[in-house]
Amino acid sequence: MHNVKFSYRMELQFSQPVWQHSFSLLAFPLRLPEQQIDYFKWSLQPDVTLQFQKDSFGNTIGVGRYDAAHTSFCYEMEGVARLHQQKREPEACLPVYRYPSAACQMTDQMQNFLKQCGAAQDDRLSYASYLMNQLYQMFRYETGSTSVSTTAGEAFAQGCGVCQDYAQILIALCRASGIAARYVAGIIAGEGVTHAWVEVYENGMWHGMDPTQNRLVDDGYLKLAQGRDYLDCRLNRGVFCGAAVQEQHVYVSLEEQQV
Amino acid sequence: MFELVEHTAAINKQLARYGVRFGIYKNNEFHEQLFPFDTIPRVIPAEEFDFLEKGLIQRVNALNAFLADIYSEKKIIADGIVPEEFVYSSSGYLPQCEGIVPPNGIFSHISGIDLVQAEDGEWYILEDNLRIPSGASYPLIARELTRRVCPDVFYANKIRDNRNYGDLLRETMEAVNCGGIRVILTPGRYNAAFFEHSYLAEKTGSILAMPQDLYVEDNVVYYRSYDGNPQRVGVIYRRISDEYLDPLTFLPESLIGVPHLMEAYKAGNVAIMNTPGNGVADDKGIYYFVPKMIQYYLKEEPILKNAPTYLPMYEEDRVYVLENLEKLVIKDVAEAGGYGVVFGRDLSAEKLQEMKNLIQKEPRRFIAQEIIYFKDLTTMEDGVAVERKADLRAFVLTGKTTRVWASGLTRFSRNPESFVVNSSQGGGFKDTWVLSR
Amino acid sequence: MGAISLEKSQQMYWLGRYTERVFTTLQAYTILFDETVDERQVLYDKFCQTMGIPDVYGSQAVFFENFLFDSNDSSSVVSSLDRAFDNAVVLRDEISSESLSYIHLAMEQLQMARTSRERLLDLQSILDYLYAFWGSVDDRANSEVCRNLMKCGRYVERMDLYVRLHFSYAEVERSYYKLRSRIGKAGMPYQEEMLDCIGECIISEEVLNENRQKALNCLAQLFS
Repeated sequence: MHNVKFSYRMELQFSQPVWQHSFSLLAFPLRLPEQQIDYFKWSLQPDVTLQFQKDSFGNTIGVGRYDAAHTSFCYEMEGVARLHQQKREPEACLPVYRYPSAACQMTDQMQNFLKQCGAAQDDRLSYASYLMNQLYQMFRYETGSTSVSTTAGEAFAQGCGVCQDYAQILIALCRASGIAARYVAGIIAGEGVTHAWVEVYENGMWHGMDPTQNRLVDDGYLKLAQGRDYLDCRLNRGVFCGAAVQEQHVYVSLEEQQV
Repeated sequence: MFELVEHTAAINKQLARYGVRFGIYKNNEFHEQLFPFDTIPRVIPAEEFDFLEKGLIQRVNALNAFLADIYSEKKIIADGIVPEEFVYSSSGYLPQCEGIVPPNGIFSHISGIDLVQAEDGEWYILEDNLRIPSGASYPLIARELTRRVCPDVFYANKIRDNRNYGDLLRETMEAVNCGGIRVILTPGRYNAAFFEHSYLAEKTGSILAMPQDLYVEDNVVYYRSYDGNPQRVGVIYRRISDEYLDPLTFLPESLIGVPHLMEAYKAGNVAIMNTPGNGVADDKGIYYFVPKMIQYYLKEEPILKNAPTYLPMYEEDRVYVLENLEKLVIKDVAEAGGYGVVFGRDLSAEKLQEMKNLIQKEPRRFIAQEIIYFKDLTTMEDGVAVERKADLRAFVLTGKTTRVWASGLTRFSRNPESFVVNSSQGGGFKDTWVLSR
Repeated sequence: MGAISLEKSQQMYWLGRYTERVFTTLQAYTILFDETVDERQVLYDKFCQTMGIPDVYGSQAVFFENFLFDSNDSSSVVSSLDRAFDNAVVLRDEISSESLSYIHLAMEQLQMARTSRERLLDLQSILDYLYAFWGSVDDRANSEVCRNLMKCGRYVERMDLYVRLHFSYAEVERSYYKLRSRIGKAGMPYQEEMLDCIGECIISEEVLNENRQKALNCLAQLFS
């Protein structure tokens, strides 16, 4: 078990004043048996009341609206959590996690890759982990080589990408092999930016895998959001009036606390 | 009723006067065209309508039950009636709508059910439209104007008045109103069906709103009033498709749409009609299962028939389809890059074989249907009576109860060979008369 | 009901303005055309000047044709009528299909006038349709606010044209008082001192003759 202290800060700067700004925030850590939140605090600048709802994927979503003109927007949160993968409990699996989603579609190239990997084995968990390893061998990490809207197929075709791309490709491969898989956005130690990984479903339980680092998820991973692919896990979405260019900065941290 | 023909010019003049048009895009430019109206109506005898009415109410009730089930318990999947991939790989299925129970539990408030009558007089359901079926306004205003031009015809034939559509629609909206004004939400003036949106707003006494007129605050939808007194909105009859409804839930690049509308809907503060996510029930593949839904949910035998349909994923159906491909219509249910609709009789021997291989390789991707030979309707073309293919869109409204509008949109094809009766393909429309006895 | 969005309120105001512009310019056109019966050559360029529109016509014959029918000329009657239609078509639920149909009829009539041998009679029918339109709106509009906004637009446009085109002093004065009594009910924020200033400019015929431009300037700033 790990005791961790975490923080997340998202700043938006607008080149010109914007108004009628509606936004949805997903960066509220999930409260789960394997992820106990002992302390949590958030704040918004400008100060707006949020309405909270659960989305269909189990995430807490905070929605709000700020009408007056403003040139910056900042969401900040921090907390303390006890992370313990072994405490995971059986969960239901949404059927959609077994089917291709918008950003996780198979391409012919990916089908061929899957064929070369060989037939799916009975033990789905080991097969998923084998696929992760195969992907890790052929795919290269390269910052800035993809964007948030790059699909699994596009990233696969160019052979390199970032954690989002690793995750979405592995999800597509798993689902095509009959293994339910979902996308996770969260925080790990030492990154400074948000991370993405995968969970696969087997024997009534979800199991975390980090294809970017080719390893199983341990007690250093804090989950913020889960869904079919990146699109469901965008931590911050917004629309506003005004012809402004926006610049976004995200700062995150996660460090182990001595008990 | 054929005496109406000599009044064609007068009726068309009236239609032009009232701006009965639909919009089309040609070379990226918006044009409005008059929707050609043929004065000779489709006539449905009273007993025949009674039969259709029973069958349509049954079908729509089952479809509503299916939607309620799919977005909650999914019993029909668990019981093996509908294979789950037909639901979850449908682009109309929206996981964002999981668990939402709409006001009064109604999902499809306005259902447009397309039927055709075969040469032997038998009626078949062609497709269900449970998202934003359009077209009711055309027979509605055509009737009003035809009555003005030749009242005698209506005196001589006992025809059920169809001018209650506005009242039916208003009652349907009120049945789910969560407390607030009634709004018809249009994407704007340059939408193909803008005439209908504005006409129905007038006929139901609702406010015609553009997306930018609405906003959500604290999970409540408001209409932005010019005098600074926002009005709470209780029900939205939206004529915008699901993916553009709320840019924060669906397509982020959507410029139309009302941010956070889905949260307000989820909180139970506003009714959206029809509800988002209905596309899962009017999908080409799901169509096959509607008669089974009727048996499953209502424990009744279907009154109206589907066009005979085969799913090659079932062994028995596949054998039949492969043996009879040249006389069937094949529909590709895959969304992107699909083959669309192919008539087996139009394929060369080589292409036919190619299609057979494809069906064997991907049996779940296709459905096949018998071709139905429509009963033609008499239509005037350049002053000459000709026979043309026509379908019927019946409007079924679900509020406190499910009711069928005693009329409907009859669309005919201009091309004698064509089975496609679509206004954007140059077809026209007729009024639909339901006789009162 | 009676909720009206900002956009709709603007459309109502401009619907009032454009229908009035069509109506009054057709009247002015008819008078000018009538003068050609005696004079043969009239000062159409002076007409353009007083209307405040560019003289893009080059000849009297072209003017009499294009000022009515050229949809590429934004000053033409057909353009004003099209703009009126653009505003009316999105207000069907407020003004009623019945009212909207008179705009359709006027548009059709204007098309017919183009090839007609009794053009002035066709123009007369357009005036009839506009009267019917206004009467219909008065009777059928959903809300008082809609009537007020449209009338407010109408009287602003009428003031502008009457002052420019030297309509009789009595008519200018009458339209000013109509505007004055309507403007407060429309609910649009306006500059009270501009309204008063227009009043001062038209206090008498002599004052008006010296202050036409000033009155027009104030009118232009009424809602700024």
